[in-house]
Amino acid sequence: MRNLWTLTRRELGAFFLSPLAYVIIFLFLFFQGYAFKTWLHAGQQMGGVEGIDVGQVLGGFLGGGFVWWFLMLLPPVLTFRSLAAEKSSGRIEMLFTAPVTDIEVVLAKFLGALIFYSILWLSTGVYVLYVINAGAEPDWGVVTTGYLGIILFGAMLIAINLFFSSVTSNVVVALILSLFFNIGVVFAPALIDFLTSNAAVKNIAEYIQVVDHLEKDFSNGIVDTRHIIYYGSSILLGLFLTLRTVEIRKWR
Amino acid sequence: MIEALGLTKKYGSMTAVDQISFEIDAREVVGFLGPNGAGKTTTMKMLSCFMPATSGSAKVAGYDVVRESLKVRQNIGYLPENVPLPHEMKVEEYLQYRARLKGISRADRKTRLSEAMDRCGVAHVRKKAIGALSKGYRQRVGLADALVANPPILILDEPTEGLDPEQILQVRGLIQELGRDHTILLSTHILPEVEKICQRVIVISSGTIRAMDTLTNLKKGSGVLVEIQGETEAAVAEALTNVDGVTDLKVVPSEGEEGSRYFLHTEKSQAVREQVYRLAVSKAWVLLGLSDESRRLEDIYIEIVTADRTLAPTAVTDLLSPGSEGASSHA
Ligand SMILES: Nc1ncnc2c1ncn2[C@@H]1O[C@H](COP(=O)(O)OP(=O)(O)OP(=O)(O)O)[C@@H](O)[C@H]1O
Ligand SMILES: [Mg+2]
Repeated sequence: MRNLWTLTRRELGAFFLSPLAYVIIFLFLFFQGYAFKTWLHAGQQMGGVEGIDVGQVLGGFLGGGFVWWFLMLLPPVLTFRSLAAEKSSGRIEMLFTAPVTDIEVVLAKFLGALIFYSILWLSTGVYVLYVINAGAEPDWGVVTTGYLGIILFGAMLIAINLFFSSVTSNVVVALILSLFFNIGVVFAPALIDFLTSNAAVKNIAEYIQVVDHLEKDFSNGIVDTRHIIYYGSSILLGLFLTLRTVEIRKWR
Repeated sequence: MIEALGLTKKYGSMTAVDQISFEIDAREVVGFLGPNGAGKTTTMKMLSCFMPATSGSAKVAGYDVVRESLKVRQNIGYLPENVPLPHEMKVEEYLQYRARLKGISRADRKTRLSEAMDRCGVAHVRKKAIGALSKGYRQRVGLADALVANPPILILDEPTEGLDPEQILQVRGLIQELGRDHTILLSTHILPEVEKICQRVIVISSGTIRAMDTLTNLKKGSGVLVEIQGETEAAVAEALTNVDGVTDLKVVPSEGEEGSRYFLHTEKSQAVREQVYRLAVSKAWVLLGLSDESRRLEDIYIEIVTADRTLAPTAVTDLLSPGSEGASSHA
């Protein structure tokens, strides 16, 4: 793991050297600011900022607005080039002829995207500070679990989307696979629920119901170990599959 | 230092490298030659641990390229064929990152970095983005990358490709200098380059080794052809054998009524021709012919790769490419 930090730093550096990163930052801050303003406005009409439960800042975000779009769309745009572009540009040859292990490379790609993703979301913390400054009482439990939920959810999609980036050398294909998967994950359970009346199927659908995990629990200050296991195992699966795909190069 | 044993690579059903075996000793500079598509790049990718062999094995720096690939990679500097570099990074930034990856300690990094940049002539563009550099400069950055950790073994895939003539000379000089304390395997299509910097060559074509020998051995057939009229062959032969620089003499069966022909084996064609002329004058021989028959690497190469013409139809056109300096004038 000697090279993990060097590689991760390089990943982060690559984000900040690409114009795409600034487009993402701009869109994210613009829409989140807009969502916050809308929410604040509604709160004020109900009796002023002082009476607002700060936990609801995130609850409000998660409940509506643009949050789901960002949760679905950020991981693909942060990972689609990760491995696919290395392959199409041939840089993968430079990378793997240096003394680095496959696992270091995969983890660095994952961490680079996750750190960038986390920085984006944590930057919305200024809204929380704003509400506190205006006199509201924060419920730190809710704030913490809210962010934890968002980061775990993102880590899961980043790991799985990284896998899509590893199976192809075409960045567009990687992007499309990731988008389809993420949109599917968010909407499929509701669809299954709608289409079937079978109780067993409904149960499974409920378990993989990522929207509920995040909305009902994390944004209400509840950390259910079941959900941690759910996200944790999905992250591991994504990383494992990515690693295997990277390793295939050695057996062809 | 480099050892290949029955190395084979198949892309699907197509065999790109077929059972090649060779050995390269420490501090040897070996040229890897062959027509386009011969399998040079493929072989180098296997040696640098990028790609596994379909069968056979290879050891580099004493380590197996599959089982101890990390150790191998710590001991090599590899310059890939197309030098794929991240365009958005600055030259110095990139080399710093590579030095860190290759495990150069913080204390040594600065000196190693400036030495590699100086040697490859990229110090003055260190602050430029790689994407803004010309192809030749990118090639030099790739070379600096291969050198930055000062590995004992260098595997260079067409290192002078895309460089300007002055830079080609500089890089050749650099490789010659590095050759004193490095083991180098380099592929190239420029045969005069091979004559300048390599001690030994491996010629492959259609994935198999066609020739593998030192340059001196390959050029053994070189010499001077002398044609003299009306003397006793034995006397002339004896006199010619005594000329300085002649290693062997053969009487060539003459065709028709002209003079006797003698083939003098030598590597110093010019000096020998001079002396033969003086000798002929002093002995009043009728000298009908005196020609330089030194074998050029081009001729030898063509001979080797055209031996299997049906298998490698691209060999000659390959040599005639603009990069091959003067080969065209002869072919
Ligand atoms: N990724 C690949 N998939 C399929 N075939 C390949 C691949 N890479 C190379 N080949 C084939 O393998 C053979 C050897 O190619 P290689 O690149 O090793 O040749 P080379 O000797 O380096 O040629 P050049 O002088 O043009 O660089 C060629 O016939 C080529 O078409
Ligand atoms: Mg090649």
